[in-house]
Amino acid sequence: MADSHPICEELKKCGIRFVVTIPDVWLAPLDRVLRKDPEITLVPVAREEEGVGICAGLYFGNQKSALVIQNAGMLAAVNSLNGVAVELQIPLLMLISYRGMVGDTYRYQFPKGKATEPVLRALDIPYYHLRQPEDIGAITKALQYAYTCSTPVAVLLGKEALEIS
Amino acid sequence: MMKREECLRVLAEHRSNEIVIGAMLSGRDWEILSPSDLNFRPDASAMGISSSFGLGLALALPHRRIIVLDGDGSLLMNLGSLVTIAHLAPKNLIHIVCENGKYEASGNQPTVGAGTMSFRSIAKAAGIDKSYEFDNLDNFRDEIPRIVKEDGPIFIVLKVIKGEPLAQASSEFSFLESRHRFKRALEREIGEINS
Repeated sequence: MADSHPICEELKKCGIRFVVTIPDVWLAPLDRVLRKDPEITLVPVAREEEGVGICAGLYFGNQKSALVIQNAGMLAAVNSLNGVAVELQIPLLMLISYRGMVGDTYRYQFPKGKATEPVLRALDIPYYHLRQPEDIGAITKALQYAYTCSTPVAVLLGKEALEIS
Repeated sequence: MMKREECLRVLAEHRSNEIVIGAMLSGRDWEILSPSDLNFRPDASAMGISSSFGLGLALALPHRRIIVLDGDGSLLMNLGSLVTIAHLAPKNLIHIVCENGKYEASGNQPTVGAGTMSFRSIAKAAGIDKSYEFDNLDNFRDEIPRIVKEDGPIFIVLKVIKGEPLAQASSEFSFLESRHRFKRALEREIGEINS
């Protein structure tokens, strides 16, 4: 089993040491690596809104973090994203598995896929796509955007970018 | 039963350099009783977020004590945070909830579970062993100096009666201004620690 994942490496390169997360099948290969990496402090949460609050607290304490969740979780956390992350100008980096999009074969995932980008746009949260492994630079760009403009930024993760070959 | 204001006055006497993350009316009263740039209320637009925000700060600043001043309605919106706090077990976090059984800020409607549910039992079952409950001011006054020196996570329920808030919500309150003041205060503090 792989003991590294390009996304984990990229997060560490960006100076991120805290990863706040709830698992998802697509995220599982990354999750396995994050849990084992001694340079990463994994913060598992019960609900994604908690994650928004924790990442905001980490930012005030001068620690970079990433919130790694499924898009269902992003949709569940909308009020905190709006009322904390956007309103308080938190440079929150979200890595979101983009279920119900290209590569998904489960019909019941598609309602989330359909709502994801319109909701991010409604919240005025910029987002990047990380569809293929070669798009990995999106993470660094997103974090730079987040800190330059003091705003939450999302990276939407496609299935192929999450699989380890 | 105790008054929230009395409890917070006792707590304020034992404050040194703790960072205090407030919620709703507890947080607002606290800002009057113990004013400091190290007070912050992150929940103006997202009720329930304060315990999670406090946990994030506690993880980021392990050398500093963080106090979360929560409300019962707020904690009910984020009960999972008790599980997460127990799991991460930050030694520097004290989570206090003022329980009056009311959504006081919205017109004193009863909270769900008021009278049937025990926050202390929930916190203990979540894994926060150092969970306390006080309904008598003298007991709270006697115990709090010892409790605030213990290693966390610590969870304290204060059973209070509905009281008059010390200040009404100000329509002029600027969430963003308070955010910048708090961030700058923390940067000064963190800078001093690192230097």
